[in-house]
Amino acid sequence: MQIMVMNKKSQLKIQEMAFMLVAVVILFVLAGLFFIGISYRDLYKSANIQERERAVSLIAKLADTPEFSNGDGAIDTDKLLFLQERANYEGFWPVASLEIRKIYPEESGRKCTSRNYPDCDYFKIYDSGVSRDKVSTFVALCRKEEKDGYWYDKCELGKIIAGVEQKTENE
Amino acid sequence: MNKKTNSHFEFLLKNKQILNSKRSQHEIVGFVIIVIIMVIIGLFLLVFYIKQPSIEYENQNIANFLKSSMLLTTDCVISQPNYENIEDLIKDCYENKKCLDDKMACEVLEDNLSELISESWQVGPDKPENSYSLVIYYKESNIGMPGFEPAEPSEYNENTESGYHEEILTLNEGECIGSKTGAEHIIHKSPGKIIVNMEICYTS
Repeated sequence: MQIMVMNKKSQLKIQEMAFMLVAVVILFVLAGLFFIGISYRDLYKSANIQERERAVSLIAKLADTPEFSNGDGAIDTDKLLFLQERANYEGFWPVASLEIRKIYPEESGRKCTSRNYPDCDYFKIYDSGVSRDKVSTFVALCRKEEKDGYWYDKCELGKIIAGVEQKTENE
Repeated sequence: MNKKTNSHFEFLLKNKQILNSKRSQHEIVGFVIIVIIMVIIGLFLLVFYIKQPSIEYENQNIANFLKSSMLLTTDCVISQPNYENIEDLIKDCYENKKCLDDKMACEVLEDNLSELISESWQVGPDKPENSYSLVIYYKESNIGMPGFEPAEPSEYNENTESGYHEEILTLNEGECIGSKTGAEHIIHKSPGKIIVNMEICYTS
């Protein structure tokens, strides 16, 4: 009789232990799932940030190409005036559209032409007309100016805005 | 005889109670140890999470903004015929120079930078960027080198273990909510360097 009572007690203890282990495992699994969930959310977020940073780097590099650069890390706006809407350059740059816009000092919203330059705000280099996302970054826009017989570089702040072709699921 | 049996039974009962209470104590101690271990693990993870750097990466857009704005031409002329750009103006401000029109270089720098930032970034509580801070400071890390004499510590500068710091200009707006990102631009100014640090908080 006593052995049977002892056996039952042991069984109860084992059951108790098993329940405890199951509870601990469930707790750790939940904590793990929570942690993985947060990590995945961060992973997607950082993947998007990386993609955007890559696009920004690419268009910043465009500004350093000889077609745009003044040799000091800025865009030469005198060059832009002659680069605008030239059919020969279509497909030359790996972007769907390219625009350069002055943002500081004051902007008037006028497109630059040989008649109003430099009292204007933006240059439309080219536009392929394909649907696109816009990516932009800051650039310095410089031109040569003369005052009291001296020539100097007059630099303003602008943005280079590129259209990137949208990829759909079928592509 | 009956009395003897009774006392023997009482002794067994008492012993069993003691054994039971010892077992309960063991279980309680075990439970407490498990709880303590879990709390320690939780605290460790929490500290690890909190101690992550506030800026997780250098923002390319802010880096380009700083690099481009350094070239911006201002109206300040220190020596004819050169118009100072922002980078020159930062150095002039550090050296307490004056423009030819009698304005202090620091004053022109502050006006230009605050206007430049407000035109370039839309900062506000209901905008994607809710705050910004721009700190320009001079840093020298060669304390102890022969011939090096740091300036007297004041409200604006300090000698720390890592070197001599002197604040040149600070601009900020808004209260930081959400993620923080930023970039630095370094200007060499012998024997140290001037660091332009910009941070932006955006609602993700």
